[in-house]
Amino acid sequence: MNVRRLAPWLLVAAPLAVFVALFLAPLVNLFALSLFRFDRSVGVVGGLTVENYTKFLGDPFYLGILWRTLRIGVLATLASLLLGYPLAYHMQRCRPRARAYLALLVLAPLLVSVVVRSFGWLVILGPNGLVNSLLVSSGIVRDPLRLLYTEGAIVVGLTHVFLSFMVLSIAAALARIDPALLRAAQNLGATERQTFFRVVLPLSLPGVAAGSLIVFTLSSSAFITPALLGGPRVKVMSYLSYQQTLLLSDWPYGAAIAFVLLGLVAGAVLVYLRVLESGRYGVVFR
Amino acid sequence: MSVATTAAPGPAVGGHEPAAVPRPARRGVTALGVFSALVYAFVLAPIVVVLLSSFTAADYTSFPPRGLSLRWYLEIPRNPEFVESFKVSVVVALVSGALATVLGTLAALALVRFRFRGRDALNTFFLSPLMIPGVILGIALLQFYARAGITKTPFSLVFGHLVITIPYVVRLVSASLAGLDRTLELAAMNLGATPWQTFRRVTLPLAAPGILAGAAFAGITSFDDVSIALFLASPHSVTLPVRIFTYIEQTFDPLVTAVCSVLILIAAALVVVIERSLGLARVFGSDAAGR
Repeated sequence: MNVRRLAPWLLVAAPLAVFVALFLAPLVNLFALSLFRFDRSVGVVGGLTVENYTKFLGDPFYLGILWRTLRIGVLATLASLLLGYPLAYHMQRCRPRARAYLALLVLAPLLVSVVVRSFGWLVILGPNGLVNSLLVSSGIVRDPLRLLYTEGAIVVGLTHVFLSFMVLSIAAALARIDPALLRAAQNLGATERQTFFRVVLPLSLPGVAAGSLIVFTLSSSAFITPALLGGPRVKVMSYLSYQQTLLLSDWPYGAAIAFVLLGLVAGAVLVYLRVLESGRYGVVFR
Repeated sequence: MSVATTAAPGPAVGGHEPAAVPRPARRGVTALGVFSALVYAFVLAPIVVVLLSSFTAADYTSFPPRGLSLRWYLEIPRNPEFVESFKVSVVVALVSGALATVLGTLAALALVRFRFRGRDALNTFFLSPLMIPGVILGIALLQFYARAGITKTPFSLVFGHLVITIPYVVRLVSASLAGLDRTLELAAMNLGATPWQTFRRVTLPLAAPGILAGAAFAGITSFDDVSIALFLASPHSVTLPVRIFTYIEQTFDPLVTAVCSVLILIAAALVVVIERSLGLARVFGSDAAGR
């Protein structure tokens, strides 16, 4: 046997074994489990069935949770875009030294655990929190508002957690724009505003697209932030799956919900990419 | 994420290349500057609020804090479960970070240095855990362990974390190997070095920054993980983020504020260390498409 042909397989043998045993096998096993039946008194019952999936897709309660998950994902993506684009643009206009410090400010929160950051929002939005203290002391409201355990709270928390990815993605796209194009636009008499809308914005769209895709997939499948800021009252798909498996022990149904979520995220990504490539600026994405 | 491969790594933020976007002609405060400052305030708000409210003297968490004291910090040692969990987290992060670095580097070497059938498929396979929501991986692993009769030990946590940390190592090390000047290796071999000597004395030192960045990312990812550890933690090996998560699902008294503040201070120290040694943008900038 040729050593040269064997070498890469010797190198990947160990990591590949780990991945097959701890990643592929558990996922296949979970999918198989989603095709089983669950009986409260007996437990998991054999016999392949798509019952769990039809139960989910035929029940308005569960479909409502599916739509809520999508809605929260879309809103968090839009919010991070609205906050992130100006931030990335401003960052690119700064001098390199200042830019490095500002980048540090965007990156540093990534080292703080998501639990801690979501907990920060519990403190800010809680009945004794920053927002309610300001509202009550300024006399705008008499009693603290209930801000926690709402969809809004989840969107705020997710936007905070994933904003960095949006900023990084857009900033990278802005940094790749050839400065000569901007000088050319100005030479040809374009105002700063025209240069932005006709040159900078279209050329930064790949960054916007990549950032949006990252934020959407992460926020629609996030677990910790929705669990803490929404709780059992405002359930999303990931929480529902956690509840069915770990809390209610209905493993087959919980497994089916997990795969519906996976399908939703994968489907959204495919549709999104298809739309982008066929759109007006399709050429910049190819 | 799948997306990060479409978004070429390229020089991201924090580099020293000239700004592509024109610098404003006029100085001073602009609307864009004000807006950005507000967004930075939004980014820092929850972190600052947790830090400040941990110094409260009251029995409940509030912002602004009532009074000023260190009583809740002094309370931490009296709750050994937090201290114990911290130790578990550190051990799990170190062990899984080290294992992931070795395994991920091996995979990266094969993927970058060799052309073989199935290479692209392997590459996708090694990055694919990043596309699977953490909760689903956690549920899948728990069910799999139960079925295989593996009892929950700290090792089951380490194994679970390998799956989410190896992809980052593969990507960061691949990037650094791909950017490596191969004529240096050829020169070493020309001068009579064996392949192993060349690897030990030339390739490894040149790839070291990438490997260290991968190790740092892997360790931090493991330390911060909740969605997998929540399912795999046994009563005797609960990691700190999971402990905090289950604690604040019930109540959030100032004790947990103090614990969170300690974690924030550790993260701040890490920011300084990583920025000084590897550059934060290098570790997190080009590969921030994590979870």
